[in-house]
Amino acid sequence: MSSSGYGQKEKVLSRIAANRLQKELTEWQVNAPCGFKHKVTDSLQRWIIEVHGAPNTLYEGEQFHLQVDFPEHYPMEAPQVIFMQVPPMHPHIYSNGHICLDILYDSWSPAMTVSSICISILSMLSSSTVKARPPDDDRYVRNCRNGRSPKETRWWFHDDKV
Amino acid sequence: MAIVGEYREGRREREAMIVNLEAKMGQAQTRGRSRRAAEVRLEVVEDSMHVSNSGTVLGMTSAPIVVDDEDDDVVVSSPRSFAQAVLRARLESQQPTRHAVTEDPLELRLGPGGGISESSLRTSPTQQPRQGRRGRPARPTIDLTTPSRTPPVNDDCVVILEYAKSRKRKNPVPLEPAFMTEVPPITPVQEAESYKLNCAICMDTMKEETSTICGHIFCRNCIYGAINSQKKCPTCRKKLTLKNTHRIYL
Repeated sequence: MSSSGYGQKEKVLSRIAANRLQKELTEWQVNAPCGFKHKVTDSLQRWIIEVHGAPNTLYEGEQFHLQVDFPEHYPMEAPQVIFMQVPPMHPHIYSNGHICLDILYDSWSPAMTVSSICISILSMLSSSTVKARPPDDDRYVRNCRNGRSPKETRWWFHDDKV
Repeated sequence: MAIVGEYREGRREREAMIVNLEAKMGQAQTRGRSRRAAEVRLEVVEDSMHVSNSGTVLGMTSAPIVVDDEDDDVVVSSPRSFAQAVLRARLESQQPTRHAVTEDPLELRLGPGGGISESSLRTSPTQQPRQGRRGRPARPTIDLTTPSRTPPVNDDCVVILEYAKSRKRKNPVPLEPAFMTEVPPITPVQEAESYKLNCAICMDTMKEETSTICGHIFCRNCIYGAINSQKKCPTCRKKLTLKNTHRIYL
């Protein structure tokens, strides 16, 4: 899994972040978002989530994996969310797994949760009309070769249709 | 000095009030108080008598009327009424049975049920317990002028703060300090638990509830952290600064 190698300055979670993540995990176990499954890991700081393509969409029957890494000061900072191999073919998802989605970067809010991120990503997949890579996929992936985090990318959110 | 009179129907009360006023006037004179104060008080007696005699009590049968004569510019008096009052006072001094009334010190009574007729009531044995303005039993008044430092036994004072009732006062303490010291510290956690609010940021029980100007409530520390990192409301993304928040007390 190449995506696990992305160099994130991993700092241990703050007490606030750990408390909040514990609560989110408890809530997830009680009331998981439809079409998602949390794969149990030994770390609270990295969640692996199984995504099932919604019925009656282009991704019906397909399965993907999201990797969610939480920063030290979560939820004040957004988590890093990427698709593990192989990422879905989508105009906003690069072949290295990076997702062009504003709530993961500029529009993150501390009131959002892993659950709400998952629903946004599934919504983004479901509203897609074409299975294709972003037009600048090659160039972008080349620039990120050294294992850069998508949070370091200066994203340009130009397309709100998908 | 303030005079509190009451419009009442019935001859007995009226008499009692006059007696009371005269007694006070007599006291004031013996203390060397100004004659003008006495005149003004007499005028009050005249007015109240007049109203109840004519029977046109303007819907204020039991509401106390407060006449404040601190303003020296307004003096309503007449030689006739003063002469009458002097006469009554002399008659009064010759009747020792009514002297019990004069034992009450000149009082400034504050509060909804306050009135000088407190003392005059004692002179009329058939007097029923007075009713307040809305039919409730009249509250005992807090007398701010009596020299004693014991707090008045007054349930109305305690009802406001429920825990004050359960506490037993072993040593009577002055009223104001008691209010300051008897409030037990309510920790923010206790406060929030009774309302079961959760903060959207920490997802924990709300601590030190703080509202934004856009109306969203978070823990104080959580919203401060969010504004410091993003300068936006976490719920509605309205631009915010730390000054755009209010600590609220639920």
